[in-house]
Amino acid sequence: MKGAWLIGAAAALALAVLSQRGLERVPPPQVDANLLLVPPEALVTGLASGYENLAADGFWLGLLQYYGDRVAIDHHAVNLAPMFKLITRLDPHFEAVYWLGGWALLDNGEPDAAIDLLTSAIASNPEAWQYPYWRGMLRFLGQGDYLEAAKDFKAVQAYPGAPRFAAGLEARMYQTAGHDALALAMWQGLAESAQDKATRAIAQENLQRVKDEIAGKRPRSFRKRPLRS
Amino acid sequence: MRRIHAIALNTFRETIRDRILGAIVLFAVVLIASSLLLGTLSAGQDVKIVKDLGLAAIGAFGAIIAIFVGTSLVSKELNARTVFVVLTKPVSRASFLWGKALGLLATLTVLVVAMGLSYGAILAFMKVPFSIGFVQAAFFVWLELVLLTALTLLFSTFTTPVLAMLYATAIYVIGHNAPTLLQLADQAQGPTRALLKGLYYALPNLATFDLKNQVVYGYVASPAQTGLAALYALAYASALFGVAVFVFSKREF
Repeated sequence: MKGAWLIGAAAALALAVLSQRGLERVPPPQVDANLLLVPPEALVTGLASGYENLAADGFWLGLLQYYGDRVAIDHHAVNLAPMFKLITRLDPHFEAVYWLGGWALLDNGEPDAAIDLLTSAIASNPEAWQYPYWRGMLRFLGQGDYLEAAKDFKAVQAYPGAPRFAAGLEARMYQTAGHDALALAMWQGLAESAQDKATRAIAQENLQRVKDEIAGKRPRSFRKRPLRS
Repeated sequence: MRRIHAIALNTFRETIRDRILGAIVLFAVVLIASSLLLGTLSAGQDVKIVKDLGLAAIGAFGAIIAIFVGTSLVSKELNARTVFVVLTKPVSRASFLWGKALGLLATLTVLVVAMGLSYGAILAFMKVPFSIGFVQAAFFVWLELVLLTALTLLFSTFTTPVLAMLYATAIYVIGHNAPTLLQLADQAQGPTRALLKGLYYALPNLATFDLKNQVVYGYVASPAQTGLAALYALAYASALFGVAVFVFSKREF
């Protein structure tokens, strides 16, 4: 009787192995590997209550794997903006996400989404100067919107601990956009208020460059289109 | 007091020797340590991930242990009939519950300290500067566990361990979503608003004890916030304990 159970068990195991061999011949489901699945934000924030940072970290790790694998090969990603938005909703102070997100979205042909991401960063981190600075750089390099970039670099200067080069960047934006009067005024002011020789030298050099461009002694340095289109 | 102490000590010894408890704590410590590996995939965010994962592990595993062990505190004694032996002695039902609660709390305190020290060791290994915020976060987790202990003890006095676990888990999730409940109340009108506001105050607001997401960015709770959170935990836990004593005193077995 006991032997019959063993024989039965062996037969069942043989059947299991045969089933497994059959399953191996079934073609695997076709999954779009170039798709980043983004779960509904309300569901994630509801389930992650109290563990939002950890959830953001998990999505960040997944995003990095996707970005490294797919975008480096295909130079295009799907659902990138919603994923960055989800991660920053979970953890609004996650600096690296804003930094990568801005440039990744720009690279992905989504400059408006990149600007929106940095705008939300500014709203969530009102004391961090780097976010208006990065937004200014995105506007400068990505959209060629020099005046809006100048506004961002101007805004940076109001933050405590902001770097001194922000004023120079603002002036450079006016210069690149062809706003000579503003550029002259800014470089003049920087040259007069500079507290070290290097800054004064840069300001004076740029002041002279603008004067030369106005006088037609050298070609204009502004671009007609952004670096990344 | 001696009776309460005896029951508490016995409960502490029983729970601390529980193999499942040991496995959960070991898992928590391994998880915290493995965050170092995850950090290598994080594009320079290793410190942040280690901080987040460590605090989350302390909070989550502490809650799992409080719920898992707390819900069977009384029912185990009832099923084994050992409660009769205790209650035939001059030990009041309130003293019995007190001893159980204090014993479990002592266990949870040891576990939070053990996990916190592992976490601290890993942060020190990564040369993360010490911040009092991390200690506060662990303290707030402990306050949350005080409240959860009282909650699970209440459920264990009148229902089965499985149902008690379900109820406690549901309250845990709802408690962490309490701010959402308040937002809904603010948007509602009339009786619905009153009902939602009532629910918001009646249910435990576990989001009060949630410092995890803030301390990783250097936040330090003020003495006022710490004091009020402690008062809230102790007051709410006392209320739950009072109900538990009332229910248990009426129970016939």
